[in-house]
Amino acid sequence: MEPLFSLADIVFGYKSGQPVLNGVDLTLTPGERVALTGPNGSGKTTLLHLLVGLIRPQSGVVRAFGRERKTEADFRDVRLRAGLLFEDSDNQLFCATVAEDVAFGPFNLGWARERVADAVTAALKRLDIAHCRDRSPNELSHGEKRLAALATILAMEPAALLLDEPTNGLDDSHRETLVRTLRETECALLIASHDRTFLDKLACRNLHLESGRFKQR
Amino acid sequence: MSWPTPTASRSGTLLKPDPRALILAVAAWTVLLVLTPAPRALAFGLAAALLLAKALGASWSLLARRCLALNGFLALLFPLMAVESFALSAWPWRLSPERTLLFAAVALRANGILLMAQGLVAAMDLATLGHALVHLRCPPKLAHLMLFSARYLTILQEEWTALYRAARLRGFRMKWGPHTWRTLGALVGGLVLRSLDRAEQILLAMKCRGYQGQFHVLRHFRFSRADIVFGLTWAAVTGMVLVLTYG
Repeated sequence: MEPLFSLADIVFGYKSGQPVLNGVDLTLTPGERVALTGPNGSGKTTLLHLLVGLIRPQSGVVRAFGRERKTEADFRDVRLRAGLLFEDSDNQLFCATVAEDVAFGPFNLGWARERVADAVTAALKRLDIAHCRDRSPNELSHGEKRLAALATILAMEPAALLLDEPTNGLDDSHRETLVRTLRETECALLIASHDRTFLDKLACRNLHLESGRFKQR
Repeated sequence: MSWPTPTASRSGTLLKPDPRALILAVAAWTVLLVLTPAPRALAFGLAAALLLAKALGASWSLLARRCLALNGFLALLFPLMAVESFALSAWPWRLSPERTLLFAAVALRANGILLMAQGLVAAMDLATLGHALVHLRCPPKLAHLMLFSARYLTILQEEWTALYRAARLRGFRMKWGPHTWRTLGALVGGLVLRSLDRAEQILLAMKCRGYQGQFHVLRHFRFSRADIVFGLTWAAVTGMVLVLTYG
């Protein structure tokens, strides 16, 4: 099966100092679940951002959905097919109501209004936050925000979900909803997290980042 | 500080008319009252605005607070407008009857417009107002600026509170002196940096969901019975003002 993503020998460093990623290879095949672990600052978020082209590597090859991606234009459709969940949900929920926020992506995919409305309803229901539909993100609890942010990308029916610390600030019931939803989905999952028990529940293949490379554990 | 939220739903007897109609009604109302010279028409307008605001679910306390602010300002203007010659040498001041009448008309007009705007538009939540403005062909950039402000001012406020609290927990107290200035400078600087960072992250998040410069609006307003009820009421009130003026 052709991988959704493959990274080859990626090197990336911020302005000064040591490169954060120093020769990283990675493949993500359809439906696969991969856990991305590693200490703080080991480059987990950086790696997720590289996959959807929010930053570009200094060297190495990013392939996604069957071809090499280099320019901003290359990455545009990658972002529509792989949903990235940001670490801070407040940055992901920028519309006046949750429903508008969930509708934002599907509208940009060019879907018709009825299809968008159905996708919004379905995504909110799937994550048990239908009651938040017409509320402002300002009024949501931390956990509800997290699930709403996930709903915004699930509604776009992506082939892969790239999740940055998805369990941050979730209480038990929201956590359960999250685990259930991720188990049900057929998307490939790449999950950057410190949360061992959560990762175990999803039975992921583990990739451990340390000093800029993947280490065997 | 708290911001009106999209769920601050109205539960007046006229029930939710189309927000666009409300905005247009307030605009027309403002023009009408400004052009109305007759005090009795203005007095009727004021009473009607009050009742309409009430029927659309505005609370007495809110209306009173808004009116207090306006009338406090008008009270300052009173001597300037209604006294025959407003100078210290002319003490004791004498009221001029015509000018007092003019002042009364201004006061009625201002209160009438304020109450109508308060009842019809100000009680609207920002999300609805923003969408109504987009549908009324207001430049989308302005409408979105308003919506983004509504969303992120609260967060900026929270971040400021967190920074300031952190400083206070380490014994910072506002005084007059270089230490205070430096600390406040650092706090404000921190807030600006965080905001810039957040703005960047928000743009990335928008890009990730395919943003290409266009905002689509999910909600569309539909013509409903509430619009007919509101339209008829408003037409009756407007007609009455005209009759009292020219009749």
